[in-house]
Amino acid sequence: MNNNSPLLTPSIQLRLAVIGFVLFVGGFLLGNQLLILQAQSQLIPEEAQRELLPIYEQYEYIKTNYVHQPVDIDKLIDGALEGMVNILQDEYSGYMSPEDFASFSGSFSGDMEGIGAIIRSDVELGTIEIADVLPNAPAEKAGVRPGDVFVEVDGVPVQGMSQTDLVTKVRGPAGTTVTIVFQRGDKLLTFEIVREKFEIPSVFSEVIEDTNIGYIAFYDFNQKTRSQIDDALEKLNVNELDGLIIDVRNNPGGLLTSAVEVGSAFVESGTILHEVFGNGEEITFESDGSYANITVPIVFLVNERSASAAELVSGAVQDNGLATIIGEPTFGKGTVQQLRDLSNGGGIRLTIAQWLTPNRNSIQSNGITPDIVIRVDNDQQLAELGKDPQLDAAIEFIQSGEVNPADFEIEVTPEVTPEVTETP
Amino acid sequence: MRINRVMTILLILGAFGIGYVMGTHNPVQVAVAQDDTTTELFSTLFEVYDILEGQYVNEIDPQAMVNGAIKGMVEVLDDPYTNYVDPEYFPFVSQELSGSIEGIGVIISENDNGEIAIVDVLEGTPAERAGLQAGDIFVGVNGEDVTDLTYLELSSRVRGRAGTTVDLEMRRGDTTVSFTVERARIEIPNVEYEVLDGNIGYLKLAQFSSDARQKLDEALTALDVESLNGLIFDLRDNPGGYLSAAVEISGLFMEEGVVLVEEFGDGTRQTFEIRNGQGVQILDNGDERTYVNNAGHIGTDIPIVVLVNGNSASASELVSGAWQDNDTVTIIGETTFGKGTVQLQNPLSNGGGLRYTIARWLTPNGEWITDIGITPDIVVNLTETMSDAGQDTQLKAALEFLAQQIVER
Repeated sequence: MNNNSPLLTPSIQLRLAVIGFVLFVGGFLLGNQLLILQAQSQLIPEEAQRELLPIYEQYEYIKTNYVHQPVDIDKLIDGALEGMVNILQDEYSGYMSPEDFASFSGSFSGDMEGIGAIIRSDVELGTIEIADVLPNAPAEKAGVRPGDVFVEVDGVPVQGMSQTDLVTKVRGPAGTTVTIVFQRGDKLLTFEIVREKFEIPSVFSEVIEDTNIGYIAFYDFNQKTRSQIDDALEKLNVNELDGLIIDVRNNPGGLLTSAVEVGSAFVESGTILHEVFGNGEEITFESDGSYANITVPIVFLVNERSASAAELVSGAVQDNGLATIIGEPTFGKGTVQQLRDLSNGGGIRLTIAQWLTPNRNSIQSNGITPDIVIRVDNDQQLAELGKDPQLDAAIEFIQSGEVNPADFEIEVTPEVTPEVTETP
Repeated sequence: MRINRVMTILLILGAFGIGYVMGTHNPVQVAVAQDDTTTELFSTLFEVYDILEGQYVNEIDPQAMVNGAIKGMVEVLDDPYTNYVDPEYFPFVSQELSGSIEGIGVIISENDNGEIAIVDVLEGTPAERAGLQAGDIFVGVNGEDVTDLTYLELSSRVRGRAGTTVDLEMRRGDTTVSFTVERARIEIPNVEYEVLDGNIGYLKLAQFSSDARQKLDEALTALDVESLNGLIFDLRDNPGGYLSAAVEISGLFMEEGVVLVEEFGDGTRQTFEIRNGQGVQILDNGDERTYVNNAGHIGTDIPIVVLVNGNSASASELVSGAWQDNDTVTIIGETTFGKGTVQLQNPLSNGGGLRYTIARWLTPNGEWITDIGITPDIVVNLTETMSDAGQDTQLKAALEFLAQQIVER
């Protein structure tokens, strides 16, 4: 195949861009949400009481004497909790006030109210940008594009904000408006976006037109992902095909349990990951025995926006030699977060562990390196043109058993922002 | 020269930036949480503290969590004058307005390269005896590389109890010179005075420290104020200080009258008046008490000019407002900073401290000057160019004004 290879059908291209909802580049371990203590101070050990005393002293001073009375004491405590978590300087950890937590908790269930965009962080620059927009959702209708960098949300500067903070500010009930200033190239663009309710898209599958290759894409790792993949495999009748392409490009991750379930579809027996906790304890997750028994060649498509659970499954199939990984080096997020609710109705998201691939590689910051690297420049523009060189390469690989990456390099004139695109 | 020097002193001392009137309230008694709301709120704090300590992937310093929580709480108030000071800095920040500090006796400033240099060595101090010189750049303190520290961080390492020593490595030209300096108690040069042409007294106050009134009295005696034809009181670049010092000093130029009205968060008010050489505090219910004793008048009716500029803040504005409303001085210069709030400083049990806004203060005429400032009776600007060229247009205007007054008398 070369640059003039048959184009994919527009329908697939459009759906490739279908990305979930406002979610993090991040993986979750939704653990036991047990409360450590009832809301009674006598349960606070004496030593901790001594440690916390200065906070209490300050609280009393402000509550009693501050010039603007009455002081909103819930806000004071929210501020203290946020300040306490922020010292971790970990963008994947964060405190959520009761209001924020209520909207955040919606992330893992069917419908969503918000603007329909997916975000990711550039840790080095400290910026958060749009990774993708959901078709027909408010963000896309307003003209927001992937690569747009958040500058301000409702007048609040985004610089230095954690993802948790940003998401809780952007998300909100349908019908309400959020004003967001984005930087696109040198320009600052202001969007007033009316939030809507939309369905979180899940697993998409089809036999690629003009081929005998199955294609499954999914956009996060939630509780239903594995069963939807099983449905897709059955519908495709996968073992009658020439091969299967699993597309986790732009997939930011999701639940650890879901990642293990999805990984187990491909790993008949063996290790999926090692989870290493702060105290040095380690848990090894083996295949859970729900092997899907796929006998045809499998290609995983990844890109720089494949993160966390998407990297975890890619790493598991790569280390076990079960699939060929094609695409770009992945995002590089090798930590596990826990989401817990708190007695005040708020919540905390905390990095509790690192995970390693079966071969004990940490993918933190380096990501998963594909077996066959096909980089694309300005992929959104390619999508508009109906071109997907990575998918083309995957098809070629399944059909002929080999691929020359140079055949799949496409030069695209950068649109407006050459400085943010990567050199191939 | 004089102005530059004082500004640099403030650079070391002004840990909170410009402008503060420190109140003198008794600290609130803090007992163990009693009411249910508070108990519940603190349960959540403990919960998070416990989760972080037990579950986070990396090790955490519990003290850092507490500092983070305190800072987070303060940030909610979004008040530039409400700050938490870490235990590391609070001991020396709390000395700030006492009139003296324990240290080595140098004035420092950060240069354009981010280096911290000595700009002046105070006379008779350990630094002078050890041979430190203006221009020396701090490289190491007690073996620690200090080249990346802020001036506040550096100060916290150089300062320390009198009698203890500190090892310094200073860059001087191309060489590095080592010093061991024994710290001592250093008087902060807070008052400057001299007699200018035309027998006009000049008196400058750097900040309203607790001993400011006493230091001014000494200077006025030295100037022999009775013999002067006029007096210039310079409050330019004076960021403020204690409320009590402001009331004491207001009495210098007004024999009686209201100095300020303090308005608290709960709506109560307190009025401060000068009466018989004392500052009197009057509560809403009419109860009175003597607030300060040392608020006597200068004792002569020579014409007085008070110089102010955009860096005259808080206590400086408080006394300027009192004198202006009572019509006892002529104010010359630029509109002042505009800060009409009172802060209180409370130590916390971890060794840190909280400085927070507890009240607004109003001028005798009931004006709240925040973001407005005091408008001088005679506005005279001093551009940076002129100041750099040694041209003090404001001082010149004051001298001309006083000369005119004296002729008319």
